[in-house]
Amino acid sequence: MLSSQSNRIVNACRFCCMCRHLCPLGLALGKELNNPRAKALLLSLVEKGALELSEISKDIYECCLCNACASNCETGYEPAVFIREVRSQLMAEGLAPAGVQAAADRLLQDGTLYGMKPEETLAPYTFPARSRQPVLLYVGALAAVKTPEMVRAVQSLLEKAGIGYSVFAENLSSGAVELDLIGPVQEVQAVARKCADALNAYGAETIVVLNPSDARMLRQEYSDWGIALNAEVVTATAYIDALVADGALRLRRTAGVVTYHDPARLARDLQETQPARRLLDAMGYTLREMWQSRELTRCTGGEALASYAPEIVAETARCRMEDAVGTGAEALVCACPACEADLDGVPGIPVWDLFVLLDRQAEPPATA
Amino acid sequence: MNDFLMRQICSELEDAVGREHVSLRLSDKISHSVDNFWLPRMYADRGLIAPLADVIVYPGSTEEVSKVLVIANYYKLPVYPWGGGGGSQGGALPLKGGILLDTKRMNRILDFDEQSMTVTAQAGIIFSQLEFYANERGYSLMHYPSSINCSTLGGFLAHNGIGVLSTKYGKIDDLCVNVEMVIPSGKVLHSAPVPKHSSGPDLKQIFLGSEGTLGVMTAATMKLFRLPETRRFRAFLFKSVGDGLAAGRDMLQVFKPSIIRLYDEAETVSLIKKVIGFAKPGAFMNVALEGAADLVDLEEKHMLEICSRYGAEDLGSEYGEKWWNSRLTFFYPDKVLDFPQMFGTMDTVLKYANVEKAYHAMKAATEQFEGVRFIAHFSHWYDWGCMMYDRFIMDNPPEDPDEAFRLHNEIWNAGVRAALASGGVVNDHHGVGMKLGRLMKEQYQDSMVVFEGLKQALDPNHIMNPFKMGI
Repeated sequence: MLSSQSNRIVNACRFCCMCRHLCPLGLALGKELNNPRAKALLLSLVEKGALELSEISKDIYECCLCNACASNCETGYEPAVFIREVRSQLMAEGLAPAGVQAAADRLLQDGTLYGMKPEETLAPYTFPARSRQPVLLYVGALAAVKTPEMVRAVQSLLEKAGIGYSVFAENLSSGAVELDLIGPVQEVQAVARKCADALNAYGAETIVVLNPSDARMLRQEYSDWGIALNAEVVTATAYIDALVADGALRLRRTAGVVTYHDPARLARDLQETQPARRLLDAMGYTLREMWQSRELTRCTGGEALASYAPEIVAETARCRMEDAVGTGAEALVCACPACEADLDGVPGIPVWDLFVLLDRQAEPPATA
Repeated sequence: MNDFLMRQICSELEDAVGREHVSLRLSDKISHSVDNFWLPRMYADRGLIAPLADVIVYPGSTEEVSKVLVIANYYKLPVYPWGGGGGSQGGALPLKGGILLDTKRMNRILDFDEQSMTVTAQAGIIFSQLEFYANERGYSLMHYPSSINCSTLGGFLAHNGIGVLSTKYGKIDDLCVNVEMVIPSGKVLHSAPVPKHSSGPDLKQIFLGSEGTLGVMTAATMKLFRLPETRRFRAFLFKSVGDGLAAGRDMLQVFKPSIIRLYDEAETVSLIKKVIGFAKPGAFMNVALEGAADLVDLEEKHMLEICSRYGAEDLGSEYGEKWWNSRLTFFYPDKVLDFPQMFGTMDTVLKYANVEKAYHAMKAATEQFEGVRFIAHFSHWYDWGCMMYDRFIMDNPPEDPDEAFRLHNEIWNAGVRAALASGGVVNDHHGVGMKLGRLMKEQYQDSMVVFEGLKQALDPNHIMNPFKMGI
């Protein structure tokens, strides 16, 4: 039984195809099931007793929850709401696809999807000893495991700017992946609360977050769930942009023609599209935009989907790379560990990490 | 069909397109059983399952489509081409089981020819994506139907659709340069490389609008246009629809606006208050002119003179600009017609001499049913006539699906027969599909032999899209 909010969205979307042109899965796979209309139609039939929920389990998980559909909906409906809710039901009733169940079990047992405890993901790094500092760097398991160059570059940038910082050594999950896999249930809220408590214990004024999915979680879901954070949450991109604007970092200019991939969470959920562009411009890069950029960005797949359907993510990432190649740029710049992990090894142009580029060009402020 | 044979056929289909592109999932079948036609939607709304295909196939190329059709032709299995499922006529519904052939994997741009101003693409591309591709390079296909986000290039070609700028740029058959179609024998047919010639009858015009009853369209070359230097709007209020029709006709004799939308008195009542802030009787018209600015200056001068001659009140440009920017907004949930209403768009096209007669005849024919109201506007204009986009709406149709089904078809029969008796056609731009197939014989009578002959020659086993288009 769906909530009244989800039911309202299902009824609105069940006969509507107006967001079909933006669904990254639908475009990559060409499947009718991979758009909100089909999912809503099927759910409406489940609600009317014409279809068993178990019949649509796989379909409900063939979605990366990137909100492209909602971003273009003139009426403002958000299919991700009913998709997350139904995922909770499927999990509760033991109807989730086996791959999804395995990923969720791994996540709830270990705290990460990578076969290690959250704090173990930071073992390869050398960070300053824990102390009370104004800035707390939240790396996240995904960045720690998949994009170590990004982590080291951000660390180096903070040091060049003379920022006193600590690293969130527990590296607990924010609950973002759990939310995508399991939905907004108490178990997931408990993960979020544990993370918030641990973050608050650092007494920082600012939490700098590498993964836009974590940033969205800390800023939006925590607030909706009444979970208090005692620090301002800032994405790494916005934070470095501010350091450059304040003169805390100076960027040497270089040259090159690049295109920039907006992470869906950053562009749509956090409406943050300009910092990365300002930074690229400050480094002297010429930006060639993909048609689907900023709020229209095309998601590469994301961490949750990659955990149980890597074959789908291979296709969504391939399509995004095609967009990038079509611009004629020499490289595709990313600022999100999930997007970079999705695009890793996809044939096309090189994928450059924004923070690595920044670290290469950054110098400490000139001394008086 | 027995399971044993079905397994055999599926294994052959998997061999043709790859295992991951053949689906027996019930959810896949159901999602292909409802398009934008009111009847299957009503079925779903009442908790019923509309007819299902036996198997869904997603070919990725012309060659794969050819292989699928050869298999289907051998086993004499029905094949239903499916694009975006945005059609309102039930043209893609799998009414008789068999293979539903979803074209959306065929979404590649094959050629972009700036010298000839054409783009060639596979037919399964979502049209907005094709338009994005052109826009990125400074061009447009100038085909802007309300379903641009939902539908595929092939879907638009299959029912010979139209966009809001058609008065200047034409219907999709005017915008299409050539087309490729695969027929059940597996042969890949091509129309002439160019759309104008004296090399026999134009095959393109035979393929377009055939609604999947002859074969599967797999690729097409479309015209490109440079984005216009200017696009200007102007709204007018005429005393009557007749005055508006005469003004539109006269404009077409001098120049081609990209848009003329003239609303009947009933639709004007709901629109005019939004435009001028208070109710006023009459017939509202919105006109757009576009192209090189100096030419548009001249067209504007003629437009103002013609509208003034017919006593129109000039309402300025603000409404048109707003309408253009929100032209798709009306088709999103809560804004578009939806359940519990019963509704249908009986778009027809007529010579100017017949437009008002048909309007009154169709209004009378549909409003004879208790609770039905009829509204219309005129939005695709030619030198000789224009399209009437007329809709019937019933707020409280029967809940019982049998009664609703019957009443729906009775209203359609009455409305379309009134159009035919007034010099109209079965449909202007949404196509025929399942919805209007039975009325094709009433329009064409003995001339149906041409369609039937084509069907027999190209699809002798009658596997392609059965029970559509009346053939």
